Amino acid sequence: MKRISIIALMASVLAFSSCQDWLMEIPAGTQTLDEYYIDGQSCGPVVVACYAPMQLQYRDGIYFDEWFFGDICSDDAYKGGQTVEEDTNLSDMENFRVNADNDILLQFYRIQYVGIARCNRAIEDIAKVPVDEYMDAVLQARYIAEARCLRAFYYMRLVRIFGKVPYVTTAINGTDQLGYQRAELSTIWNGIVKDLKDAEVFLWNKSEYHEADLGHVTKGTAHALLLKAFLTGHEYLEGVDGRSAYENAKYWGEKIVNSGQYDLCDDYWDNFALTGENGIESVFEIQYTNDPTSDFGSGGHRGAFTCRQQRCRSTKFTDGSAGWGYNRPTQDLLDEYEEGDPRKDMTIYVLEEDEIDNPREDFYGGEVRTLSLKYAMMTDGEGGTVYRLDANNPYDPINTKEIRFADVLLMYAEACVETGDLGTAETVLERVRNRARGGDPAILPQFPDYSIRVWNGSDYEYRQLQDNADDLRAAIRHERRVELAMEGHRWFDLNRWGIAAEVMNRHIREDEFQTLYGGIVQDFRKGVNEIFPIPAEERRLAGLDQNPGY
Amino acid sequence: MSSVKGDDLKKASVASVGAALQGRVAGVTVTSNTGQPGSDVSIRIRGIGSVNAGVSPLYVVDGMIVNDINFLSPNDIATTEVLKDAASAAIYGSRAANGVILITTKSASQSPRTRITFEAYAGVQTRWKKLDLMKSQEHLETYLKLNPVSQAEIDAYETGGLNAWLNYARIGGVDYYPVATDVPGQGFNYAAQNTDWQDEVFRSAAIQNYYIAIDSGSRKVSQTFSANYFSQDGTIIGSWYNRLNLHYSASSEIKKWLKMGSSLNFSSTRSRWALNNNSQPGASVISAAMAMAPWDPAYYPEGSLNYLGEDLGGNIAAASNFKNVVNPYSMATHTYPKGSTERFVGSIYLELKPFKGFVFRSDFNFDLSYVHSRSFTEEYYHSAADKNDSNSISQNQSRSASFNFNNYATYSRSFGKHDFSIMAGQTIDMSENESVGVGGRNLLHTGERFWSFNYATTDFTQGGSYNGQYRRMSFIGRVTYDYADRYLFTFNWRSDGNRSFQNHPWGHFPSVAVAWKLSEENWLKSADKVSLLKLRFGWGLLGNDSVDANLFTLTMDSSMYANLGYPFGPGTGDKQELSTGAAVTSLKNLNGRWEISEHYNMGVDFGFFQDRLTGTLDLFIRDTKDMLLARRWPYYVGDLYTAVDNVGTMRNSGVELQLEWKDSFPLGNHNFFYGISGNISFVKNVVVNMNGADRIYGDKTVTDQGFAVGSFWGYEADGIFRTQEEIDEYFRIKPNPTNDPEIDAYNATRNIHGFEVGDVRYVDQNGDGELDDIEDMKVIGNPFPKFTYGFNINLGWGPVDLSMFFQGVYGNTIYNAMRERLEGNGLNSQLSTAMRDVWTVDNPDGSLPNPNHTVNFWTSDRFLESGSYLRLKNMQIGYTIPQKALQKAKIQNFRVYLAANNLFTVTKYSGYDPEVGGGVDYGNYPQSRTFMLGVNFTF
Repeated sequence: MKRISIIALMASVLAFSSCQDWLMEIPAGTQTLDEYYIDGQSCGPVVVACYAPMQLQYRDGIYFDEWFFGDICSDDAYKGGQTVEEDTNLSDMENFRVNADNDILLQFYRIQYVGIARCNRAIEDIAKVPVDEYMDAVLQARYIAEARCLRAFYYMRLVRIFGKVPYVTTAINGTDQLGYQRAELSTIWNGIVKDLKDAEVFLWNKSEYHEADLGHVTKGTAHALLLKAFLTGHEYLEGVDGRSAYENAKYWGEKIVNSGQYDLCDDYWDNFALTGENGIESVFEIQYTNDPTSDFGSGGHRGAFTCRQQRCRSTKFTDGSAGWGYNRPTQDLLDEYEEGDPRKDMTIYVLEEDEIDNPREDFYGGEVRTLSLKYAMMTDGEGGTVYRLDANNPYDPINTKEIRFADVLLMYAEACVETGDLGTAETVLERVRNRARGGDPAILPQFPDYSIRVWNGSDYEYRQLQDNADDLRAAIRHERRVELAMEGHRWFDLNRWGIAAEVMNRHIREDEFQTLYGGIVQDFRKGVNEIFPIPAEERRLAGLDQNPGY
Repeated sequence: MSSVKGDDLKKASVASVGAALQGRVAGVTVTSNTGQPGSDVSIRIRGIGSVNAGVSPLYVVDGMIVNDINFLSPNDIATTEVLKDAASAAIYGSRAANGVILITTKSASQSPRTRITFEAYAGVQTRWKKLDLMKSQEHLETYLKLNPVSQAEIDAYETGGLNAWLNYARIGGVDYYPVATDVPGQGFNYAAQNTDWQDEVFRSAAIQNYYIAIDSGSRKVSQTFSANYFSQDGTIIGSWYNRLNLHYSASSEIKKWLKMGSSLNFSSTRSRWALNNNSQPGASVISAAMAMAPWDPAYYPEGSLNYLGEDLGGNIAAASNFKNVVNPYSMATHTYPKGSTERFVGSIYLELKPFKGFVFRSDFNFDLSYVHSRSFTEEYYHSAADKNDSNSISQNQSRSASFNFNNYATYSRSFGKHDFSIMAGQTIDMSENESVGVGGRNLLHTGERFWSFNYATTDFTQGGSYNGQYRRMSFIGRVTYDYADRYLFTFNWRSDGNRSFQNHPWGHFPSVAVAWKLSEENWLKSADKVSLLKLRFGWGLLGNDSVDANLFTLTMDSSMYANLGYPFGPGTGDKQELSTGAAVTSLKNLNGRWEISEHYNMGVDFGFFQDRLTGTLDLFIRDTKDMLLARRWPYYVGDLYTAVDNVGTMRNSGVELQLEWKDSFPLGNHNFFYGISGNISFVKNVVVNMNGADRIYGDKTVTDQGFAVGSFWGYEADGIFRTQEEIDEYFRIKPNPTNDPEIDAYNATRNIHGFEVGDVRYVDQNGDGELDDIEDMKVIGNPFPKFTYGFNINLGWGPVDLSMFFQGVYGNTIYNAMRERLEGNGLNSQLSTAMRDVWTVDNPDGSLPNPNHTVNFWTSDRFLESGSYLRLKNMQIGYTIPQKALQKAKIQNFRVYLAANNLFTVTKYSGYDPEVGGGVDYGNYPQSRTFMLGVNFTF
């Protein structure tokens, strides 16, 4: 009996020590986060997932395309759609009545952070995975650089729209890592620039990527984003690397312009055709494809909504494959074009009476006859016909041209003007106008031999340009508006230039359509409406303060 | 702690132990979810204790912890004990927060003899209630009156009657309908048809039960074996259930200091399920029956020619009014779903008594279950909605295995009037489960022998899950002390480890109980009217660990889709290759812990008048703290966003009373025995604090701070708008003007849902003159009753016995979603006769709103009804043949009885049955009324 007791005692002591191990063993069928990173191969998908949130234009019942801000909020376009009243979230934004409960803002804000959180995790985790046959040190560095470049891109999207936002650069693993407040603008802009500069070193040139990898961010993407960051956030970025913000913009602009990786394509229209995607002029495109599994639910969408949203509502015009008639160019934009500029007809179409089903809907509010063509895919179908859109599903394959080389050139020209290098600025401007000319010597003369509407601080003056820095600046801004019209840039450009309040209030004042139907348009409040309110729901969850005026 | 004897459970004559417990124990709420044979009941002890973790009690069968007790035969149960308070449930620590139901199966007595028992009953079940619905002509006329139909449609009916209307508006030119005509042999005369679809889908159904047990005992060894076969057909077509149980238990005393034994339970069930309680019209047999038109036959008779001249005679009819519905006969005929479960639960123990007062017990328990379901659907075509283009098979198998191993050492001693005992124990338990499922279409052979995935030729599907293991480890201690059986004291401690709570795997659960038996005090001992008076007080902490094993583990999701994948490369045409992406898509709070509930219990046990009157009164408070609730984090954490955290608190408090009076007196040749016993329990549940967690919306329910968990949530109806002026006035109120007059003017005319005369006038809760959001909704009812009760009357006089068992609930509400259709526009359902008084232009004072406007079907208290009921659950009259007459046949006991279940129900509920699981009735399977004849004998 005694012996049994001793054996039992010893057995239980032994059992005890291994007990805790037995208890805490990871159960079968569970793969923990650490176990995911089995080898270098597992890192690729983690980077891929950093790209996916960029694509999203729809979530939880709300559309939140980036061009809602860039085009519709600006003087270039009206909301469009079936009626003036439809989609109050968007019409509130367009008419400066926006408040913090706006769902478009909420979704847009959130999806950027989805991207940021994935980048943060990729940056942290991939660095810990040992290099192996699937991932050498060069590839590992590129993976991390891609995530840093994308993180900068997402933050730039946020800071341009919301101003100060929480700046999170570590992966959050538990609820004890919360407590972020809105960071200062200089913190965010310097963070963006640091990420891009660090990424730029390790990213590959576009030509170094395998064809199947087109769409990844490249060294050129990072350079272009640096150029854009220094121009946009210049107030907060003085003195980086001992250079002024505009000198830095010029420095990074020069890198990409002289990289030999990019050029303007011969035909302006190639930028907006399916066949021209990821071509010589492409610096950064958000990829979309016609994927039949793409949906509205939690499965997400790999195709875009842009085409169906912007395409005409009329079945007659669209050969039966109609859209929703969003983003209708304004008369103001039409007026910006010079006589004979071929880009005008490639950008804007004016509907004829016999091309419509229903005047009230097809002419927005019964008045607006314009349509935006760049994303309408009117010639991408077989044999140059209308590309067929499947009912309402998110299958539009047309990529969003986030940055193309013409944009880079015009930003570089701006940087040159601001740093006093007028000669380079003129050369670069001419490069853009020359391509637009398409070999027709009768149109789009070289600077300064033409007249445009020059902004005088409160209104436009139509006059002949002079050969001086101010008029060169005006010429570049004019060129930027027409070259990149309806591509989601205008709103951000106006704010970058600091003239949004004046230009927009003039637009509201002068625009016939606004006065006819837009009885509830409010004025642009200077110092307020340049940015949008921090979404109320996020303020509540994170205890964030609000932008002034909201 | 309360207990129920096996004999009482058996008397209920129902399939499962859970159902038999209904109304028997104070503090235990048993709800039959459906009347489907073999279905589970839901059992809640002292209210509902959690939102995201489990709410069912812990079931322990002969020492084995099991998930459910459906597999058991009520015949095999010796006793059922319900542990409600912390002190009694404490030794089940981390899993006992919802109470414990301890079941002990029968084992033979140690008396040295053999006994054979045989019991059987057989009976018939019928529907006990029928809804009052319109017949063909009235239905159609009401439909035409209510709906914006074309003049041509009205003309068709007025000139040619129902047949002409059908040909014109519904079935003309469609090959699966016979032409509507009164010419015999040329089509089908719908006008003469009046199908009572309720009669078509309900039927009388058989129930039977056979049980045999053999006990044999000797001084050292005793064993019992039993076999039970139970079979029940459903009262709705296409449903049945049967079960075979085998039970064996044995114990033997090998040495004076060594005892061992085992208990083994095997069960095998087969079933076919008729329906679910589902919101889709036509999803269940009942709701499909409601959606068939009264002019549709079940089957077309011979000579039912379609417009092509083909005879559809013999075919199952296609629904001609609501065309999207599947004929209930088609559900019952063409699909062969069959579920089978094999379950083996048992325990083996060893007991050592090396010296006086010391007992060491070690037991090993297991629960193995194998579930197989197979469904074959044949190829058929009755209409565009009611068809299966190619035959199909689906097969699912799952296996689960649980084991636990317990070791306890107990030492007890007495010193004079001081008794004490000390117990220390240790347990480990683990479980694992996995499942696989396959499916396919186009089986080349269609005979039952070939209903296997192997014979499918196309559309293969496969899936599976491997949920891995749960593992737990515990240490238990207990000290008891009493002085002269007068002052009693118990202290329990249990520590539990569970890996699911990564950063906090260990939880500690102490409890204490004290009691004072006043009746043992000298000053009361002499009072002969008081046989027992005992005051009790208990306090303790219990845990709830029934959460998903990976609730607190961060994992990576990878996919080409789901917002993870991205298209790279040039692709061809408009297609690019998708690359797989991987990301953490849901935030796990790595600091998650057990839910802890703190229990207070105060009670008194009493017995008066030589125990003729006995009873128990308990007051309890059960506070769930650290309740796991999903809480949103700021979105800067990424798409991980919502995680559960221990933030909520919930309180269940209540009173339970159990009383029994029994007595007997001589009457004629025999003693007349009578007893009445009853119990009643009041429980109040309230979510005390959500601490920032998200309000939880369920199906017409809400869970939020200040309300009972899962309260009904909706609009409050306040009559019907009778005039346009009333509507204008209603929507005019705008207490919150903006500073923009144009916006105000715009808002002031806003009746965004377009309410019209004849629509429901909902109460504008926030008074802003709009009806559009949650501000205007409120808690409109609670599916959990205010109190539940049961009482039993037993009478006996010599060989004759009579018992009646009543059970009821009070104060709960049921959302009668069936009425949303029965009081609808007549297009997707038959109509209730209540629709005779619907609002129309011609009947402006009608009591029901215009069914043609969807605003009238918003979730509102319009469809909420009282769920209170009182039911005669069971009644039995028995006759026991006197011993003398039996002695020759060596029969010890012989009793025959007549029994009835659900003989009558007192309720205001207008649906089929007030016993509705979940509280929303979409056409639930009602309980049936059953008459049975039974016999028990022992020899």
